[in-house]
Amino acid sequence: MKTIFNADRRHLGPALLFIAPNFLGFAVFTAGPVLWSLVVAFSNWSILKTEPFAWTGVANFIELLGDSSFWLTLVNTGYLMLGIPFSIAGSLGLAILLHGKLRGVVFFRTLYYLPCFTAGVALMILWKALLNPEFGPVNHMLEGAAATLGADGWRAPTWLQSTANLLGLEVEHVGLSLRQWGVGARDAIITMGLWTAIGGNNMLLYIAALSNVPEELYEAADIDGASGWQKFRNVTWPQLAPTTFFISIMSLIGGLQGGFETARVMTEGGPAGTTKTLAYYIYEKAFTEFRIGYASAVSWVLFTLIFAITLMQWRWGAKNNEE
Amino acid sequence: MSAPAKPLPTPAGHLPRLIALWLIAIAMSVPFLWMILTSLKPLQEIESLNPIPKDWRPDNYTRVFEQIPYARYYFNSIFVAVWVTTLQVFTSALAAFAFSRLVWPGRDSVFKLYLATLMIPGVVTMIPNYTLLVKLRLLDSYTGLILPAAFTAFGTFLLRQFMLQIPRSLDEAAEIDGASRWQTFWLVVLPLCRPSLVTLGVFSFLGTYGSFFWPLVLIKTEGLRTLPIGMLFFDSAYGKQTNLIMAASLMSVLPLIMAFLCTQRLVVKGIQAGAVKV
Amino acid sequence: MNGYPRIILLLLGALTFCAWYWHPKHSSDPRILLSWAVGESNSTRTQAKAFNAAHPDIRLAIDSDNEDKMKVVVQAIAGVGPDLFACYNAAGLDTFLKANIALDLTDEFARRGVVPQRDFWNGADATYRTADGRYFGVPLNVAVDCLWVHADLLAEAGVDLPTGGMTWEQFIPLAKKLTVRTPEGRIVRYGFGLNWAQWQQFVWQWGGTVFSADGTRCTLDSPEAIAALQFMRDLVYKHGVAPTPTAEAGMASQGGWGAGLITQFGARRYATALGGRWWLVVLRGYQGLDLNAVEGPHGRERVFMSYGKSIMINQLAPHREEALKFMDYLLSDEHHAILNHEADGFGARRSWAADESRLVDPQYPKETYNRVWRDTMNYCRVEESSPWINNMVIARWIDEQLDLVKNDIKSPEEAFRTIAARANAEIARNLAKAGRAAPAPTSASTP
Repeated sequence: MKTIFNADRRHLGPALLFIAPNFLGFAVFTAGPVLWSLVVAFSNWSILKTEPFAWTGVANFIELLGDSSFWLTLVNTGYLMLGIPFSIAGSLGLAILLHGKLRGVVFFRTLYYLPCFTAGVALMILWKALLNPEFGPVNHMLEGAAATLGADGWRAPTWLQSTANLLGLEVEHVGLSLRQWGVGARDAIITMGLWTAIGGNNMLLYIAALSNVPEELYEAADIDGASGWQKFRNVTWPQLAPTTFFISIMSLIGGLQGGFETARVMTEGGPAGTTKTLAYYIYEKAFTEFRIGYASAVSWVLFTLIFAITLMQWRWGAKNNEE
Repeated sequence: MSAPAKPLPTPAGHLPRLIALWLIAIAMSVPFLWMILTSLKPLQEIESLNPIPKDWRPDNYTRVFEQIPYARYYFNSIFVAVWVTTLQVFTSALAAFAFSRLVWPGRDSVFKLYLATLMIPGVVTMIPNYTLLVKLRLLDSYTGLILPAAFTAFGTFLLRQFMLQIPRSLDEAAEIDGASRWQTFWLVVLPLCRPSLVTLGVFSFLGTYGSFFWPLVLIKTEGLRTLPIGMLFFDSAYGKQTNLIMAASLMSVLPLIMAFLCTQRLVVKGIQAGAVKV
Repeated sequence: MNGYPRIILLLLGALTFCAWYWHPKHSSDPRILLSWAVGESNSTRTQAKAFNAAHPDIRLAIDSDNEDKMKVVVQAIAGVGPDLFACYNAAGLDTFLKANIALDLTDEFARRGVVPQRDFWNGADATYRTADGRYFGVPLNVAVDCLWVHADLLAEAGVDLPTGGMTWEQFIPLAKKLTVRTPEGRIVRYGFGLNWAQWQQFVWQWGGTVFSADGTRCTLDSPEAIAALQFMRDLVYKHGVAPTPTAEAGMASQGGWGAGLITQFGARRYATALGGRWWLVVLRGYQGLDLNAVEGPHGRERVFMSYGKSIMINQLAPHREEALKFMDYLLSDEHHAILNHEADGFGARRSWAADESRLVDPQYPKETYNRVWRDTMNYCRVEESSPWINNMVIARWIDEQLDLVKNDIKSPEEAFRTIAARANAEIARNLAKAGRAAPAPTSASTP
């Protein structure tokens, strides 16, 4: 019986009609630009037209490898991504808490998901105010707590104003120093990121995955006399592995490309450039220096990075899953 | 499926869990509470240690409208978001139908192409898109905000996955009844996709409403600004009237909260279903 | 499902209609529209109004949102740029020249018989004049910074400021007396509002320079320049009369408009600050201020930086004739009078300010200190720039390094040495491209 499902040349026509609007937009605004950007990365194209257009081969790539601010922003991006394991662990923890029979589960889940859902400029501005070193409630609470514990003169960290960080990263070149140890802007951003993401999509995914864990496994573990921790380690965690794998890949990809909005709204890349991420670096090169060719080169380097890391993680994850 | 036993049974059972849940709930909601309370304070009280205003000022909310063209920003955000969402959902549904129900030469290769671009970070396309819009003279216009965002490979992917689950027998029955392809799409398949349509719609709306980079770069006229950009300039240009800024923030976040409360269940299901397939 | 699509279509239709109806760009005005990208203030508004009154066929509109240099360039190249825009410093001039959007006005000046070198204050030179003597803009105003003081706070603290100029050494104990602390030790008012952007003036006053005379060497690594920056740092960290960045951000918190120096000064967080007469544009908005001004403190050299902004005409804009009329307006007496009245610095023409009557404005009788600015203009020098390095790039390096010194992360010596090293490397590169050798490195001292 002839149905519309025969792979038939005739169906090319109607199929094209259906796909046309979407494909046209896709070609013009996604696929085309991607190719164009790849091509332009090998030139010195700039909106300012300060030099005549020329194909520069790999000069852009060599330049970016030698640019210390590129490496610094890479390090910043990496630092900000250090919060990812905590975020995933937190989501898992919350999912475990919410899992199972409980009155009011929907209430808690909604509340936890709210920061993720409403995330955006408004919440960043809110956190900027919360973290104000002199007048923000966060420092009020911290200093109040310190005072009750007896440490009266202790001043809370200056958060978004400080270049200090928990790794002691230097400001002007890649390196570590004790002088820069402390709590600063980058940590503030990680804190805000945790608050936003802990109850977010990852938590929902874990909740779904948890309910898919077969009961029999737990019953078997109970029979073997396993403790709560052992049950978690030997039953829950392995069962959640695919979800964890998916979440980590998505978080890595997001972490590598992100940070622009946060930097622009909360710190404008400051203090002293410590909150600039790769995305911000690309924005600067493209829209403050107008070096389109160079900026495209950097964005392709970023893509390669993401691709490589995703590939590595895929291989590693697949290997682990086979055990 | 009944809920299996908790992986972390505690001897005291319920109570510690409840306490933990409440503590976390408080931690999550304190920033919002502070935002609400500060938005009702007069300027002098913002620095004070007491979070609760002594002098309640609900007129802060109207003052926001006086200081900046907030209503305009609101309208612009909603206008652009509604258009983009409608276009995204509609064109994605059309394309998803073509990918899932129709068989045509080159279908799978084109679909792989779509998937491939999902991996490309946004930064790569940002710059050429901007240049293109400059050439097309779409800088500083509604069209420039709406058009590039109206096409999404992600939406197509999502809807296609969902459509694949709809049994073909329904299509065949429709065809026997003499329905054209369009009618099959519009009257049979699409209504069944409603949950995923709503999910896609919600996330589209969410994404466009909160979109920051495009309006920042594209818009030069103040009257065309969207909420995120308006908020950014309000925060930096108008001095630290933190109470007004908090009022503005709260108002801008309100549609999102309401949208979420209404579509919660579908959204959660959408996220959970979408990921499991991967 | 028939209901939903209909609702959605209706919603789209309604929204689109509203958007079209309320579109901000709609205008049925028959006059020629000139857009002027400049910061909006009482002064610029009045200027625009006066121009429009004199030219009924033109409508000059201020577009302050797109004042940003970067936006001007990109929009101009995209064909949607402003007709007139402002240039504030050498970096701006560099940018606009490289982007080739500033109209060359050298012939226009010649045609009007105006010789900028002779007729204008030199304050805005860096913003419109190139090294080869061509002019790409018209100076709108020039200014110099003098020491603004809150007379009542001075009286309260029993401080008397010398009026004929004082050295920084003399100034510091006075500033210390004006710095007020709470019993717990937190500072609520600073004696001096330090503006780090005035670094060049400090460098000059200590006897240093930014570049050598021919611009082939960056001399910020000289002991004089470093000492100047060290002094700026000491104002904050040693003498405690100016705030740290954290304290500054904290002060920005409540009240007043914006986090800037001017507004904080107006809010009396500083007892004194170095600023131009154009601060009045903002300060007049504050009630109950008792202000006075004296010549600013000086170091080894009694020299101050004069600055200004010039207005450029967009080469790519359609209404060149009308835009040139604005150039005439900027040179006119009327404009100078408005500028003076609005306290927005001096107009370009030197001769206009010579008349004593112009120092007193009947509408603002309390402003008895106007003479100070005019007299200080005699000790002025203009921002340095070098043709061998992109001034925007070096401006960025300076901002970065100053940020580090401000936050006490880097010592002034290291900061300036870093800038000088980078700048000299860049200059050498550019010189090589032009086929010239870089000057031999010397232990730099004043030229």
